[in-house]
Amino acid sequence: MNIFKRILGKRKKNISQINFNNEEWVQFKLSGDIRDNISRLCHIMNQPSDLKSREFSLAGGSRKAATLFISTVANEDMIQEHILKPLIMESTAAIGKGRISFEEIKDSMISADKVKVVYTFDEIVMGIMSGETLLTIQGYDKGLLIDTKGYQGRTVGEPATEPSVKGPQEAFVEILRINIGLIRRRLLDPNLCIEMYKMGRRAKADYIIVYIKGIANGSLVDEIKNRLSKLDVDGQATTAQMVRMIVDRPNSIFPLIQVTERPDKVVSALSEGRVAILMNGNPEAVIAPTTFPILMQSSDDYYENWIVASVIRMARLVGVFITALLPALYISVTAFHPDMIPLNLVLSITDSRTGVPFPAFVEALLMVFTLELLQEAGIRLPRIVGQTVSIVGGLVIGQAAVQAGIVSPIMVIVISITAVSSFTVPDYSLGLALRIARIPFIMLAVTLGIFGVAMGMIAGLIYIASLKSFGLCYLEPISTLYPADWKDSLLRAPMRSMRKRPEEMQPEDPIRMSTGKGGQENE
Amino acid sequence: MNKPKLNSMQMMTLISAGTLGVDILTVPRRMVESSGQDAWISILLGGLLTLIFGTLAYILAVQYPDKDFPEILISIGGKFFGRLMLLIVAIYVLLYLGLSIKIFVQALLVFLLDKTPVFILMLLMNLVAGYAVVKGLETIGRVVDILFPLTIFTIFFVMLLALPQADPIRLKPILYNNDKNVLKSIIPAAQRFTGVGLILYYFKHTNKSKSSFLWFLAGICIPVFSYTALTLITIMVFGIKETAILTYPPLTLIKAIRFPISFLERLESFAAVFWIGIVFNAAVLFYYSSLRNITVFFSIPEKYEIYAIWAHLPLLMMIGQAESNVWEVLDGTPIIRTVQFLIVLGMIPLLAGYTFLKNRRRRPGESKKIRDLPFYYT
Repeated sequence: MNIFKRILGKRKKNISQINFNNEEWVQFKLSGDIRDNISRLCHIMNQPSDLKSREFSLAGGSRKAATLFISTVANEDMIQEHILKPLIMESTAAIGKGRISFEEIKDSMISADKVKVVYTFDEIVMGIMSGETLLTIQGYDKGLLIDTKGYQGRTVGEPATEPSVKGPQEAFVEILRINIGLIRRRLLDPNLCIEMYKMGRRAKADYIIVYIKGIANGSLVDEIKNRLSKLDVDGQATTAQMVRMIVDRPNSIFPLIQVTERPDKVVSALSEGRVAILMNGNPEAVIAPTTFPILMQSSDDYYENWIVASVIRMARLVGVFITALLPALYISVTAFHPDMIPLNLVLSITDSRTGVPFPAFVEALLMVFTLELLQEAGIRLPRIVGQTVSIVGGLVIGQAAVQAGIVSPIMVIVISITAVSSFTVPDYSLGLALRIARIPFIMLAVTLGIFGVAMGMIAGLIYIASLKSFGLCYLEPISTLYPADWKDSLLRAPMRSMRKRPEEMQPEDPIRMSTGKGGQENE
Repeated sequence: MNKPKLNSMQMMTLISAGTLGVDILTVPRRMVESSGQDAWISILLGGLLTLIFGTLAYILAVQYPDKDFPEILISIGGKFFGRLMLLIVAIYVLLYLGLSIKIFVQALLVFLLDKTPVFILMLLMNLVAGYAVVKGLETIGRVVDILFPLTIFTIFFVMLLALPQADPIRLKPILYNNDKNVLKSIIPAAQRFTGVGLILYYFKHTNKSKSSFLWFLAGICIPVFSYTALTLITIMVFGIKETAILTYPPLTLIKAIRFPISFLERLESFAAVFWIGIVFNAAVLFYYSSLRNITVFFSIPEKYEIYAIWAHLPLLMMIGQAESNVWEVLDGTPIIRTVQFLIVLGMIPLLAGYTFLKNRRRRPGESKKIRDLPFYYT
């Protein structure tokens, strides 16, 4: 019995005894000796090669001081211009006026815009690691932490994965400050709330929760904050990775959050009552909650006439079905129900399959697998080599495989249409999920024909209908629960008819647009 | 009380979807057999009767807004009689569910997969229906919401395409020496709409509003209208003699459709695929009802419901395997129809009347509660 208990019983959690919350550093306080402070900081941070310190004299040598910063994340020009230069010059000018006080140095001699008095090493270590500079002065058991953040980053560029024909051509970058600016510039609303938190036990990462107070539902905001605050991890590499840990169904292949690099998408989501999460060092924002119809929408839908946008959305939806089902339907029709299609087409398919050594489903799996390899290779390889891979892949998939008699030309057409359709899905993660969904459908088709595919579709529908993103059903608003939200789901109604925000988000302020007749949209 | 999982509009989709089950494949034949060319009149009159009995079921549900049918039975009949009534209902629902799936699978064998074992088809259908029940009522509501418009569209699309072959002369003479048969067929026709009884299972979970009753009535009218129209078209295309010998007249009707451009060789096979959705909707709604019957009967706690769900599988498979011949299955259903008749046209009206009178005798303060209920009370 004990053996069974040991195997089946719950194992004790191996909780790490190491405390990474910097609590032990709280007990270390700054001393009046700058040398001692420098050596202690070096010891805590394990003598990093990029930790720079510069000792200098104040007021003509009457008092020693030192600056400490990490050169790779701090702006050295700023340190020179706003700390060292004014300190040395002003303190020299103050010779003869008596002893210079700590407050005088803080208020009159440093021209940097953000200065904080610090006493303990926990604050100092975190500040220095994020690019701030410590000024420690001989004789004072407190120091100044001055904001000199200035790490290098790329400038705002075009969205790489979410291009738009007519929309803004700006994408988020790795620097959180710039990303906040990109949102603020588009949303001049004093109720825009940007709350900053730190995440991670070891590596502390800054992340922000963005929402519009008075629109976003308070309980949704609290729920997201609550779930994020419960995360106890070393420190996440990406925002999406972090948020995927707090979604309702972490094992679902369907994306339960929306990851975007477009600030205009974030602004649009915020004005609908959703919440965005951005993390320093990540060129993406995570929007929650999200639904299947939202993931099927593109920015361009709102820059086009509503009829055009609706037709394009429907085409995209057809694309979804083709991506997931076309190979399965082809197999089921050719293997089980050839009588369903016209005789000429049957003859044509049979003729094209003459000499192919594999059954249709092996052929399909082979092609799907090759296509996946090519798509993966195309992403991983540098652009110049990527083109070569595309050409080789095209030849292998298209001509060579057919000429060698491994696959039939009609299968090449089926797989090509499937591949093209998969690119119409606006959300990359959703596209990946649909690509994976192809395989079980192929299996069902080969065992139970079109009945298997139909049952697979129903099972898939049940699964998707049971998914929730932060409490919101994944299929909203495609049900009779919120008929008012149908205006912006699979089709897009004219903008002037969308006077209310989506009901499914339960916004605190439901009205988005005045009901007046003036200012009608030119649609 | 828990937060409602369904809204009042979903009452329409659930009732319609539950009624438009496997019967749709056989209704024209069965009604033509009993009332000839006036079968459509019998269906319409049966529909009217269903409206009355549906209203009675609704009244019963309204009296117990926080209870579903099995709980109502226990509440009214007590532990012994309540459980006895529940046992009858539970057996009926289980048999109806199992045989419905069986009949549908037989149709699939004819039109789609002639070599696949019935066992496999039934197993898959039951597994997927069980999976939906595992996911809960909210998910069932959403799935039915999405599949239901597709099923209605399929039915009306098929009828529209068949119109060119329809000859109205085949409906004549209307009610000529046939009025007795028409009247006799009203109750059999009403038995085709017993899905309305599902209101007793789902009302508890709906968001009650003033429009609830109207949505419920709409839920009855849609299948009545669909069955009437389908029977009319079938008679107009095939005539009564041919309709009476067709096993699945609607599927044969699709076969008769002539496309100007033949991009599909066998449209009936495609239609059979769409019919999967119709039958699945009804199956999943009855599956959930059966689950409720069993969990209340055996007082199974909510956390063990999952075992009750999967315990259905062997039972349903046994019911499906019991009779292998399609005609035997089809002829066997009158037994079920009789039980159906006793429950829907007997037990429910009696219980509704009993509860209504019981509540009227209450003190004035208590009866005030009833006055707040939907408009048919005033």
